[in-house]
Amino acid sequence: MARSGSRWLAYPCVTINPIDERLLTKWTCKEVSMYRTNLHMYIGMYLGVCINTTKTIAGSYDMANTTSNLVAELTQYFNTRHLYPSAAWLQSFVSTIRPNTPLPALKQTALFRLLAADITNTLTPTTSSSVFPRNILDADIELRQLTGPIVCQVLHLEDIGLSRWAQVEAIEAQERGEATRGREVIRVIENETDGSTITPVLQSKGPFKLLLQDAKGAQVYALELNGIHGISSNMSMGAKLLLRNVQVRRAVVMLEAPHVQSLGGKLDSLDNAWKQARKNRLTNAAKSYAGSAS
Amino acid sequence: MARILCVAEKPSIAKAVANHLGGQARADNVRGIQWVKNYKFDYNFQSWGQSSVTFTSVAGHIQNMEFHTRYQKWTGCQPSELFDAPTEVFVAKDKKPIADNIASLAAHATILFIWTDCDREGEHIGSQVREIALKANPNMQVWRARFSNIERAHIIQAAGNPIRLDDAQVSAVSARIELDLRLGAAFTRMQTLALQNMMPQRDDVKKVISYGSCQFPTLGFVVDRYLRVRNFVPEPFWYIKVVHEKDGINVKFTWRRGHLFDRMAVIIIFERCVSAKVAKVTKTSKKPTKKWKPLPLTTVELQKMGSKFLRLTSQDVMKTAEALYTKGWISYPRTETDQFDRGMDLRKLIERQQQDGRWGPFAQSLMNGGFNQPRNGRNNDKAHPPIHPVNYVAPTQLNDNERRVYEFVVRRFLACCSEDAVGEATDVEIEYGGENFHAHGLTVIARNYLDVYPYDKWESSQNLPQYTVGEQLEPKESSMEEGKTSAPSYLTEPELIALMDANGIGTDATMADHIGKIKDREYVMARVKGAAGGNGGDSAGGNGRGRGRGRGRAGRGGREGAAAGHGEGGAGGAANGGVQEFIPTTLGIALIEGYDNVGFETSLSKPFLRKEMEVQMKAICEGRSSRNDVVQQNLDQYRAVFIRTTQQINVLKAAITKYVVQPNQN
Repeated sequence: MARSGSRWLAYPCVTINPIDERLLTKWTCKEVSMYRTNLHMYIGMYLGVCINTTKTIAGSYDMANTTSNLVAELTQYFNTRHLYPSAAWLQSFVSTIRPNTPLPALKQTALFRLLAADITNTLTPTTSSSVFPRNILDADIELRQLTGPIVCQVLHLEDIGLSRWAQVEAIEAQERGEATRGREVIRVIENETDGSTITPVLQSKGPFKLLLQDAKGAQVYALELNGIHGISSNMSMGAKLLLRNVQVRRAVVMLEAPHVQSLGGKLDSLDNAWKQARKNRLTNAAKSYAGSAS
Repeated sequence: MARILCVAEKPSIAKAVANHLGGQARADNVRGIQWVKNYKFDYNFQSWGQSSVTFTSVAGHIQNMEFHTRYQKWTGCQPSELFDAPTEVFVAKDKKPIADNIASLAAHATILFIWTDCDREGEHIGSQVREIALKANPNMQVWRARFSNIERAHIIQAAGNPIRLDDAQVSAVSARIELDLRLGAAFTRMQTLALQNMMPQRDDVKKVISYGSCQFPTLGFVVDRYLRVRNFVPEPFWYIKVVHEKDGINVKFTWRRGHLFDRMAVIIIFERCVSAKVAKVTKTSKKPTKKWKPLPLTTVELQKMGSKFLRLTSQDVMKTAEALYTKGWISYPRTETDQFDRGMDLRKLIERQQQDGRWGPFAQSLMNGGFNQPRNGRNNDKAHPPIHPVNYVAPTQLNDNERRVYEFVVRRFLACCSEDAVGEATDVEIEYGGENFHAHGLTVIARNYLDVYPYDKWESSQNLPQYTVGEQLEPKESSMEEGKTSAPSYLTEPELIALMDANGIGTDATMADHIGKIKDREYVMARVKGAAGGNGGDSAGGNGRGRGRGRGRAGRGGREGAAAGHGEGGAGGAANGGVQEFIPTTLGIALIEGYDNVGFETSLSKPFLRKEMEVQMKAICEGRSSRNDVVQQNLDQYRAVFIRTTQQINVLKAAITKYVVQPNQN
């Protein structure tokens, strides 16, 4: 996803991914003026929207009016997705964008940034049903249902289908660059990526135990038992989920297919730290269990 | 009349073949070597007519490859020079009388007919015989017999259809020999010189720390598993069990999820089940099922089964099979083929087994219409059929090991020619609180091949009552249970063979030797599985158990076979207890960890480099690569590893200190 500006310049015809915020934020003025026409055209083609480039140039419009219109547009855009960003966040977003950026691209950028931010800072839940109830941690309640919709972010995930030690062994094999195919040990040759990403540990079907956080900062465990697209041992921490009509059993949210929608996104610093610490965390957890088990 | 010189790979084959062709052939002694005889007789060959035949043999390889004298002394050169030091091939000192015998016989013969075993090594030994014979008599025609057992009709067939030596196979072996020599000598000297003084000495004998490109990956597998066992951390898990009673039968349903590693999660799921109260049958099936009869027997399979069921080490299994082959009871025991040729008369072989008291009746039933063509596996080395009994031999004529191996080969063969076992599998699946549970039942209807093949187990389980889809049921009992993960066990011999096979370490013919070597070198010790409980303790090593060095290189074909016997079971294990498991010594662990820490892309402890070499051997055989290219390419690869190791020799030393020196000081 992370395409550098220079590569863009070299290949102006490459398909534009609307979710890539760099598209609109990392360009220098000169680049923009050089490629504005092209860019608009391609975004237009991509989104199937015809954009008249002359009209999007902001010069003759009233800036204040445009800004409030824009906030309104974005608010509506987000609300249809059950996202309620705070006014402050919207203001600050609008202030960072360049004038005369086409609206559809703006919306995509806004969504991308919102999903990459910590919802405890960015979202202001409008109703009590859009966050977990206050007594969510009351384990005496065997079963209840939350209508939602609730937007929450994933802070932690554990694969509970595999022993922690088996996961440690898999990580170690991967560090050595090995994998096994049946009895055969095979060498995994790393493909030439940018190297920053940590490659998947292992494909696991789970089930998973997650720690979720809502916009007010309440944290609650959740179980994912039967597979949901977007939830896996390789998912990014800080990813956002939208919950509707989920069951809560003994203070644990049951994540089940039609009631959970993965919105994507991540929190970079959390995700990196979480992945870095994974092996140690699993090792320590395994050892502490071993101590208590024997 | 043509004068034909026949040469077999070992004296026993010469004797057997000569007797098939020449009746009671006259045996002349050979000067300087008592166990080789020259058999003289007349025989009418299809290709050459009535001929006067001399049938002699060699005893494995006659020639050795060595470095020039200057490089033979350890102090004479840097170990690194051995990568390209000049070598020469010469007749081994102890084989001189054999070579002389061939040369003098060749001088009077017109045709050389080679009867070495039909595999790569045999092809190479044949080429050595050819070289010696042609030197004595350059005008000889050279032919080769193609045979895979020494049953009479087969031998006569082979005598009538001579073929040419396959020089591609000869080249492959010669490449292998050169690589083994150079790499073995260079690494052995380098690591011995660097590490020897660190080793605790006993009896003032300075120990050689040998290296072999198959030995090390083999050792690597043992160490890998050992460390996994040692490092293992047990963890608790939880699961749900459901019992339902129907028609007076307690049906146990097991959880589809197996078990989970989070107590809270299982409690919540369990509560959901219990509060659902009623379960529903979601699937039932009753269908015929089969247990497939085994595939025709290959060498690797024989070795695995041998160490699993016959309680013999792979080396002993091979030694015994070799003896049975030499005596004409079974076919050639080195084969990768697991499919019988369609044209082969299997009934005739079954017929001969009818007289046996144990499996005779089964063989009879096959003859009376029970015969089925064996399944075909995927491998065919195009040289030998799967291992099968050739002739019947009464148990009284065999020693204990031979009896067990022969019995296994016969039973396996009869099983192959029989029918799959047939049964009926019943499966019931229920949904209970959103979770799936299932019960499985098996009824064996016809045992078929199992009757003659006790090594496979397939038993009827409890009968399941009749359930119908949609049926609601209330479990009699549901409970949440706790368990604990347990460590894997140390690597057993069948597992090690399987690993070597899958990773291309050695060939089916040499695997047992490599395993024997790492035992001889005191890199691992073998013990009977379960003999010593616990985790092996801290002194994992077999320190202080002085065993001889075993035999030298190229331990093939000679009279001795595998000198290193079984039964060096540590920890008081008896030789005959059961499957052997391997535990590395401190030296073994130190070497593997040391090389791993040197950190080349592909450590010598890993199978990758050697596997590549084995693939290239095959390429030579198939004419896709040349001997020279393969040798050079491998030397380059290993030279890089060598240089890196010498540069970082302290890493290796540190590992020796950690595992060998320090524990000895305490």
